[in-house]
Amino acid sequence: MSWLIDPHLNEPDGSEGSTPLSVLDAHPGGSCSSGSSCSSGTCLVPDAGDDAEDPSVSRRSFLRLLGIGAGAAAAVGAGVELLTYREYAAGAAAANGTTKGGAVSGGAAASMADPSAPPTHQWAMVIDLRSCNGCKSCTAACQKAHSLTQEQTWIDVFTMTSSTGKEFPFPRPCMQCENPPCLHVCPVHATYRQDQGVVLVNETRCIGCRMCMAACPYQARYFNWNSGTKYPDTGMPQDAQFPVPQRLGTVGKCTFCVGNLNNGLMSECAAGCPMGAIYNADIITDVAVNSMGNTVKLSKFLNDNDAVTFKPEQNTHPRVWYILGHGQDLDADVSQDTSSAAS
Amino acid sequence: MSETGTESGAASVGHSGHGANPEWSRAVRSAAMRPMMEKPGALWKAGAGVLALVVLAGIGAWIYQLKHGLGSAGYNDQAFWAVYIVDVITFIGVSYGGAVISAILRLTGQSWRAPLTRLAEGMALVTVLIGGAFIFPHLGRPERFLNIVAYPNMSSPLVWDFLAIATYTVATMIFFYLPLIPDLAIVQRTLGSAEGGIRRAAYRFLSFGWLGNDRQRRLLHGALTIVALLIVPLAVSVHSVLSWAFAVTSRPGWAETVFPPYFVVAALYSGTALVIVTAAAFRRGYRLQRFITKRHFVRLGYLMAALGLVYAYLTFADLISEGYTGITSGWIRETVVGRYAPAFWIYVVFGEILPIVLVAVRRTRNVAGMTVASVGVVISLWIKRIVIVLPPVTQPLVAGQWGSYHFTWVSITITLAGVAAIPLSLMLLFRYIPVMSIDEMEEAGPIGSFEQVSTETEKAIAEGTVGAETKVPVGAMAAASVPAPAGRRPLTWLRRPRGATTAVVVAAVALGLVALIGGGAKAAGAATPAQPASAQPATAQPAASQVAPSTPVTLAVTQPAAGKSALDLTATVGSPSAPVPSGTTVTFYVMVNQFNGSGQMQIGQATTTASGVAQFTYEPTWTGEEQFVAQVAGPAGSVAGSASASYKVTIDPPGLPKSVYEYQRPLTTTGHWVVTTLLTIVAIVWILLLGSLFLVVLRMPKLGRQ
Repeated sequence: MSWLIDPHLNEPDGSEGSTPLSVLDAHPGGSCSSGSSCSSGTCLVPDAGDDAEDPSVSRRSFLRLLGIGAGAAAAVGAGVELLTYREYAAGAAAANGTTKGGAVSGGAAASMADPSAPPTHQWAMVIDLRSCNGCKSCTAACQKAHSLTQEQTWIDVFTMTSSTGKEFPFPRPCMQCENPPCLHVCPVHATYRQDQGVVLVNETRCIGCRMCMAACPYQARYFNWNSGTKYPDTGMPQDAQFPVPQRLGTVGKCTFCVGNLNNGLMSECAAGCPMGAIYNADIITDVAVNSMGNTVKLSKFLNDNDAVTFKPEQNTHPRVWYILGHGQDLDADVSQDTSSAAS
Repeated sequence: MSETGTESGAASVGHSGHGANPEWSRAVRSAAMRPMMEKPGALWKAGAGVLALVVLAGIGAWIYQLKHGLGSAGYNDQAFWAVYIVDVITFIGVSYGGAVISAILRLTGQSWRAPLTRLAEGMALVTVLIGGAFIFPHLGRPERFLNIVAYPNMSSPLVWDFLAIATYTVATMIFFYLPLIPDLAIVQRTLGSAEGGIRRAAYRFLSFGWLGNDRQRRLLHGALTIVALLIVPLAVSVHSVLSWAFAVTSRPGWAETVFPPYFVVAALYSGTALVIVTAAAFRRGYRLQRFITKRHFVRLGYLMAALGLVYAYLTFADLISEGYTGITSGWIRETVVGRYAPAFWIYVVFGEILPIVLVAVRRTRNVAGMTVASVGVVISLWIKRIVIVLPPVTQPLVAGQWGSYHFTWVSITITLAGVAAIPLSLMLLFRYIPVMSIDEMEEAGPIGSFEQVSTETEKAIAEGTVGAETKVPVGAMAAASVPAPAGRRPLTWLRRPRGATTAVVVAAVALGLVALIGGGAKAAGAATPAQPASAQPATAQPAASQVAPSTPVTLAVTQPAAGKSALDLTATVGSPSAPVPSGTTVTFYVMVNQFNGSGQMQIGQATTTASGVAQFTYEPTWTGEEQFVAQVAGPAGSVAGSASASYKVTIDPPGLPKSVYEYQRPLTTTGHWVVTTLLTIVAIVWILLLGSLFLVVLRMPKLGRQ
């Protein structure tokens, strides 16, 4: 009965590859072409598969334990407004000790630039608010690359007010949640999470119900409302990794430029940031790079700078971390009547 | 009675128990079947024509919307759910009211229900179909609707919406059809051979050999009881699941635990109101004043008022908890005193205060008063649902401005088409089936003021020669059964339901639209320009001390333990001729080519021993040829010396699993059981529903032959 629940870790179900919708949509991570990688069980395993035969079952059950552990840790830490990276990683490090020998399969240094790499990458992002000056170059770069309309701000720069009354710019891409509410509520599995942790939308399947927009706590999804919008023909077939041009009546959102990342390039927003505020990151190789060429060890960078996630109370587990630096707190502006309880 | 003979005319399929009053029976049959037998009058044709035009306009608007996108209906990214989902909730909601009222009255054996059941069940059937149809303009890609069946995600509330609505629709159809069987038999016999053959054959087929004998009655009654018992929880489930489409999101104003009962009660409340409105309209239009009396209106009015009080209580409960703490109360402010306040207070006045006052005050506790109250309830509950949907949907979740929804001609036309489709469908429906349940009314026996009506009038009406409207004014039945206290006269304006109803409709609609449009217009404004934050690059300078420029450095990479991926990076700094002080810091880097970079990534630091050796153990995070750099800082940030070495990492690093942060939802396993259990329940419901239907259909003819 595993098809009954949305496959949390999974791509579109196995039948997708055989549907005539779009061959390119079959494996949007582009990640399952090498045979050995599939033994990890994290891809190409049809959802209908029996769990008992799944080689990854022990890891899955482990991850389940991890989830419970994380939940427990979160419960213990209740009252802490911002779940810091340190707290986050503490639980992970403890768990890490028990998984020696499991973990990353296959791979090779060659995979660094190999788009067909198995999930040796888990994409993430770090946004250093100390460097952001609110110029919105990221938004412009993203809209240009994806032929978006003015309203479709897949990465939007909000102006937030801290509890001390200071305004600061706040870029918000899709958080690529590990517990994505949009994915859980999509009635047709059009939203899915590929095995590198990027949440994508299959626009050939989306029925346009906008339930995902209702569920997203970050307002990160954008609909194609008007047929009057003219999208230039890129000469390329549209797929979930690169949904250009957008389709009328379907929903779109930030894709993390996962195609770029898999080809060893930066995402458009990170590359377009003149301040180097946006870091593309890889959790597996533990690397984060910004447009200034600043290359840092992700875990250390997050740890040293007390990185936080946005709206941790939503239990979405974002893959985008923010580094504060000016006494900001991230939810001061959400309920306008009251200053936030964040300390 | 003469239930044995099929040739003895219409009376042969009548009820054998209480139907001993032939006058009553004749009057009932005449009134219930008159719309079927007579040619439609000019008024009927004009009304149906206008309604059909409105429906056609709505279909045209929908085609326009398909071509131009949902933006033409006023939608935008900060108002992504609006009028159509409100229509879905409203129409399916009123359907629920009709079905449940009929079911509960049937189950509790309330014989006064008899003239109302057909209207209530017909209204329930028509509105659930219309409400279901409103899902299509709601969708951006209606042509892909069946993806819900092809690729269902059982954790999505919308899939359960689909299942619940589909099940409930089937149940409503069966619940409408089963009590119709005896009437179809009566109609078939009444039509006689004079009427069209096809029509008569259809009635004959659909009545499945109904003769009205005891065994057939027992069978039908049993099946009806099962369906009536099912339809109550089914309707509860439909509205709960509809509410969970809102409540399972994290949006303040939607993520409310009160939502399922809130929606269920709203549905019952507005449904009861629409039953009253429907009864009032058809009572007048189809001259049923003698059967549907003031008593019915007052009883339904009491029910409606009780539900209205519960709904007011739930509304208050919804607002008070979040409003009190103020944590996420932006939507409450907008609802109660902000841009949606006019619409909200219209609901309070026309949807709560007015109906309850009209029920409470004895003078207005009459047909006209109840009708006015009901119209107010139906319209203001539509407005209330707009107020439930729009403030949370337009609120900013990150920062910035409130969004706004603007009604356009497209969304208004499509909504009006849905409204017009209700009376139109019912008018067409009652061209083919009796407007009242003849069988149930014969079973119930003479009710209300029937005995007090003069025989002449009754006969004249039965023969269809005299319009009931002329002979039996609205208040006559009421006056006959419950004499008005001497010296007191009902309020004059309320004696004219049409005028008063129109006034309420116009006032509520106008105020509601003005409020919503006006509220929307307040929106927008430019975003405040961002205040640039000063850049403050974070670079940690290794502490350097007394290291001369161009210090020789060598770097060696070794694998200390076979089979382990950890690497020892050994840097030797200085030379015998130019030693460096012990404790000099050496920084180690690995070269990174990811993300188009060619940067050095610092992986650690170590200090030299007295012999100038610094060692650092590194756990690689990827395999392949890796380039390492050891650096010694010179004075003032300069590099005193550096060395590089490469090493081919072949052993898969233990590193991190797919993601150490990977989150697993706590209820994933339990969810399978929940889903399986719920699907089993759905399957049982379908088996019971269809089983009841097939049992009736298959057994009925046999029971008739025996």
